[in-house]
Amino acid sequence: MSTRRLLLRASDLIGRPVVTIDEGEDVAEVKDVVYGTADAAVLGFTLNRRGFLGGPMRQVLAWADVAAVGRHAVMIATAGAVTENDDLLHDVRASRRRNVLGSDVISDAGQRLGKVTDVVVMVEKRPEVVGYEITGGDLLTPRAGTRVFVPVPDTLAVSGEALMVPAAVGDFVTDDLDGLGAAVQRFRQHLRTTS
Amino acid sequence: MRQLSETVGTKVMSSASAQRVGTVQRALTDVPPRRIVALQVGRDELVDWEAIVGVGPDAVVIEDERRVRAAADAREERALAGELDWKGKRVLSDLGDELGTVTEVEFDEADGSLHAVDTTTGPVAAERLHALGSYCLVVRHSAGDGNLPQQ
Repeated sequence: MSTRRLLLRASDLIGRPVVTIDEGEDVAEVKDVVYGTADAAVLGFTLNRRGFLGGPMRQVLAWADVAAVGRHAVMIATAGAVTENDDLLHDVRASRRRNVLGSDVISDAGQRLGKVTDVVVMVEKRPEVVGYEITGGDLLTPRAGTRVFVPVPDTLAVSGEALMVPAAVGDFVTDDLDGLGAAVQRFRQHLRTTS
Repeated sequence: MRQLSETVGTKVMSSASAQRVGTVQRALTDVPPRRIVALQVGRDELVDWEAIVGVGPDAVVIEDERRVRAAADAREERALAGELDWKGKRVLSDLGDELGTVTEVEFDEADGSLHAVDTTTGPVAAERLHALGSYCLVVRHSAGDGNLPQQ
């Protein structure tokens, strides 16, 4: 297996084709990313039909049924991965009420770091949420008002209103997406050695 | 070794009657793509590879014109409609990275086995071919794919 690593903004996945590995067919395209409410996980995708008859599909695609997320397409083993998954449809409805996008990022020292503008997913083969793009608050001066990337711990609390992160995250903020990969590893290492 | 684009357009002759029975339109392959299983020789007409006597630079020779047949299943019908054509097809790795488009298919004229597919980003060995659909050709990821520039 390759050691390739990709960092993607979740919003960049919107519009990407969903392609079957067994038949080479584009069975759908990503309409929206569904985020968890209990944690920061990406749960799956809502879908649009492809082509000029495109429009929202009743069926959804759960992360568990994603074979790979690449630079150009979301790959699934077979067309059967696109289903009316009741659990995910429930999460889709729930996430409409509580979306991580727009949430304030608050440190456990009680300081506001900024507001979430995107979710960063790291893909080796299967994807994992590793950070957020945020519009920095005053605390991040001189980066206040600019888009920066913050790593997230392995576990963190999300309420739909705010995202709680350890205060130490401020030392691991990066300006570019590529730098986030290394920052995530250093940040998580830091948390393990200090806890 | 022969290139598919050289064979397409070649006349198809019957060995039994020395009559021309058509022209090679396209090749149909198995699943996953490992060999050519039939050639389209007319608008709705196929010849199975087993009925082919020889594939040369000037003609494809078949045993007998009675071996010319119609499409027998949905996949063959899709192939005849051009949905499963190779040339110009988008190439995706099974990790979801685009590797250009197909420019040529190299095959062994002795048994129809595929040798490699040439793409706009380089050749792909036949062992890596996974599925040919109307949207794309899916190939197994290889370590070299990761070196492609970001979009």
